[in-house]
Amino acid sequence: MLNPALALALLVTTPVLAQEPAPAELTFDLRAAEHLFNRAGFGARALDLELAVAQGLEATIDGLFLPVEQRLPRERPERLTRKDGAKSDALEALRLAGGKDEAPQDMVDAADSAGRKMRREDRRQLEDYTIWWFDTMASGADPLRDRMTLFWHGYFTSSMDDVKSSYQMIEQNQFLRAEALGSFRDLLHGAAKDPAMLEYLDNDENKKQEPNENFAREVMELFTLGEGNYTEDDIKEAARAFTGWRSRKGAFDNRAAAHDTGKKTVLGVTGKHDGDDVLEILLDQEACALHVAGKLLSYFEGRSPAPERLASYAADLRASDYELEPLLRRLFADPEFYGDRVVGQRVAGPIDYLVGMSVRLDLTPPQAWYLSGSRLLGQRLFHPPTVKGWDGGMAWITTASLMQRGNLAGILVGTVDAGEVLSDQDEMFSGEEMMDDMEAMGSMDELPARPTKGVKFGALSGLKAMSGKWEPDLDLRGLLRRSGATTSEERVDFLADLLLAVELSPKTRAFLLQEFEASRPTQGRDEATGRARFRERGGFQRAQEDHLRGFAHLVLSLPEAQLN
Amino acid sequence: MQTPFDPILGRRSLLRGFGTLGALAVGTRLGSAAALTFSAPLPQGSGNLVLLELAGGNDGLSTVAPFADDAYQKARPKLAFGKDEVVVLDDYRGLNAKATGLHEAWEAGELAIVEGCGYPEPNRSHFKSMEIWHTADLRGRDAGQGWVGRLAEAVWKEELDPNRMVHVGSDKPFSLNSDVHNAASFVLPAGYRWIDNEGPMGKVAHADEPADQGEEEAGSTLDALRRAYGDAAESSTEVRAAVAAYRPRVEYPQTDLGRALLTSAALLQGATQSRILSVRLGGFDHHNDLRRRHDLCMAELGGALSAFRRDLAGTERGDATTLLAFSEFGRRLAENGSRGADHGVAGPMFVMGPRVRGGLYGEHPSLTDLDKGDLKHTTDFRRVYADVAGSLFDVKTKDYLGKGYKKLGLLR
Repeated sequence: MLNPALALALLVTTPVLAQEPAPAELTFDLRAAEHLFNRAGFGARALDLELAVAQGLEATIDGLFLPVEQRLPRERPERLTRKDGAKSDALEALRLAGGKDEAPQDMVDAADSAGRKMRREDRRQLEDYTIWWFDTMASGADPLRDRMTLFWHGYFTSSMDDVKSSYQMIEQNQFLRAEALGSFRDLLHGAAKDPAMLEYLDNDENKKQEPNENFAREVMELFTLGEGNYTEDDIKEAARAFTGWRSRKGAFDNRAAAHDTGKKTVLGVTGKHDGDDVLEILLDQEACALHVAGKLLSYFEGRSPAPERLASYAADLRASDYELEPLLRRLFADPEFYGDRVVGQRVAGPIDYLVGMSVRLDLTPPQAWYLSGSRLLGQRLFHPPTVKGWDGGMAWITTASLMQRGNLAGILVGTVDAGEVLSDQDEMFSGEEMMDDMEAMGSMDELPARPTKGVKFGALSGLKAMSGKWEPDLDLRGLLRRSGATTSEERVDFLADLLLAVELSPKTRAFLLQEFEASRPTQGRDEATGRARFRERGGFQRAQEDHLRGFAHLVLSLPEAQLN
Repeated sequence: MQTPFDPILGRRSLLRGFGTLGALAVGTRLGSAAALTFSAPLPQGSGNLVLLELAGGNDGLSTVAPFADDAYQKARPKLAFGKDEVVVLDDYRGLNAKATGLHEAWEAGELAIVEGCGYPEPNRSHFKSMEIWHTADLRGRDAGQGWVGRLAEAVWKEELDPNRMVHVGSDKPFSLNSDVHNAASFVLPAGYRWIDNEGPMGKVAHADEPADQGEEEAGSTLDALRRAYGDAAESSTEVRAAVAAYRPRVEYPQTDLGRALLTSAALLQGATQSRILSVRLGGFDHHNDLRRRHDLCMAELGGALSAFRRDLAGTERGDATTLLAFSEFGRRLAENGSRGADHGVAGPMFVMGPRVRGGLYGEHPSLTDLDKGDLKHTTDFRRVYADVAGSLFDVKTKDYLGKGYKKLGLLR
């Protein structure tokens, strides 16, 4: 291992290191622009890329930070659960009647039904919000804010499974969204007092007499320092400082009676710390900036940064007092960010894959496709698998998820019926959710015959509801005609370029060409029957379009399509 | 080669060497129904391993409760179990009453409980500690591969069948990670395929053999993806056939673990000849309301294990199957203020199956001589890995755990 200082000196004097080949100068061409939008957003349409290149890198980066006014589904989410203060007559009546053991059966049944209805409406509100988020990601209206909100959603994460309140989950997300490009200090302090977070990490239960260490541990391990940069005693002491912070009716509450006012020593600093003091002690640690910068660089580049480069970014982050914009601006103009080891070398996460595909094809898929698709591929928003969020990278890839990615691409372009993918996946609904949703199944009949844009599928967000009902507004024939591609080779190249973030190797290109040719419909007469193959008006055109869609499905199923 | 006759398996090594030939093999449909259920005798001395991960930090003291220990009753006024609330094992301890499958195995003399398992300098982070259990290495992921991945490499060497090692569920555990052997992983077998694209996708992995590319390309993300494609194509056909052909002898509970163990049974019995299965039961991180929530976990565990035992009982592959259950840590002795318990250290491991010599192993950690409020471990968990894997597979412990461990004699 090189001495970091020496390595830094080398980096300055010799532009190309053997380990990290980076172009000395950055050419902001279409490829670079596509890369920037893949990573800083969720992909871009061809026209937007040309615009970016014409504007140049600096103006394009400026554009990412321009404030955008966005319309939320509603100003504030509604409080729909009892813990957030929502009322239910049936549940209240049951309580007054002495609870389940005392009350008459019809009252119990009414309360059960009311409870299910509340849970269903609560899930529905979160689903609506999730859909709104998918739509803004795909719109490209505020790409970097969407990207960073997703990053923080996995960083300062909480799960609906534990929080059980759409109000709190949405409020948390709105907070992360508002601060996404601001200051890490504000994010940390805000996340630590966020009601959903306090519940998720059990700080609600952290009291003077009986400290609960969960929150204190994760704050150090996941939010600030990283494992190995603190001791078990630091956690015990910090937990005391956080005593009293809790969530009450969906809002932050500092309960003085539960707070331990005594002296604590955290990372060598002794005092009568409260929670905010501890957060400041953590922010003062060099390990904190390294941790945050490391997470950001790894996220955007798909690989861990070299130690000396990370040290330099972390130093900048400290120098800017944890403001995030300078770090992001530096990264997006960093030639290494556009190097061969970064571009097209990151496994696209499920949301990258799904949203990126819709953007490239300029399609607006049904909401169920996003909701069920992201869930099927392992990135269900507001339901992270662990307090660490989602692992990312090759962890997205299993033998099964590869197949489901291809199947979801097939649904999008209209070659696979949604029912085939999810017919067996209904089992994925947990018992309670299934029960609640069954009650709402009546709404299924109201589905329009051929939904295209912005159609809802009710509480049952399964792909099954899409079966036989989705026909993409896709005209690949027209697209190819306008592109001027006439030979099979040109068409294969055009479609591969449109659909993939990486260049094809000669062998994969040859394979695709072969597949393209083998399935291409031809006019004329059938040799066996002597009849014209396509006798119906438009039959041949339809066959051509189907062929192109089938080919697009194949391209989107390739290993290359899993990279961005 | 592990089996004397095998039309389907074993082609993996061929596949790697001859791309086009392999591509043809992948596209081949499996034969008659008879071929699907056929069960070739396994070589002498070889067994199957089922790994059951209890994720979140299983509270060992509520699983095997030391009801007779005053220190236990005193430290857990709200959580401790009394003698009349457990299935009594002896005058000191009892099994959680909800864990039916474990009781049945204990009664049959097929359950070994190794108490006080852990490792030196315990880490109380879920992730770091789980990494340590998954790699059997105190460095965690920095050690490179998972311990099961290393075991697979020692057992099967160049024979790269992804169905030898299968995780049934989401999020494949790091223990199965291997530089050489990719493990198959899926949630539900029926949806485990490329719809409309099976033909071409079977060829994709070989459309561009990594060996033909420049040196600098080796080890790229794309290469890793291509390998996964090859494994997916091969694995899915066989898995779906095996599951479709399987007729369980008992009804499994409709729980995630029940379904996962049913699929595991199909793969153990079927033509995939899977040898290592991995399943997970999550939700053990009981910082609050521990007793009620832990009981729910125990009920799911007990029901699924009971069905699995009865389904496999008396079958040839079933007799060769041993299940090993573990968790990343136990929980603190003293309960917290939320009727829960925070992250702790040592906990019991469970080894279940017809080959197991039932009984208690190791030494119960002292409830008075604590390390920062936590139970000190008395048995290194790697000793249990070594003992079980050493009996099931014909390999040297050193080859997958780096060194030898003293036998515990858990298996016949």
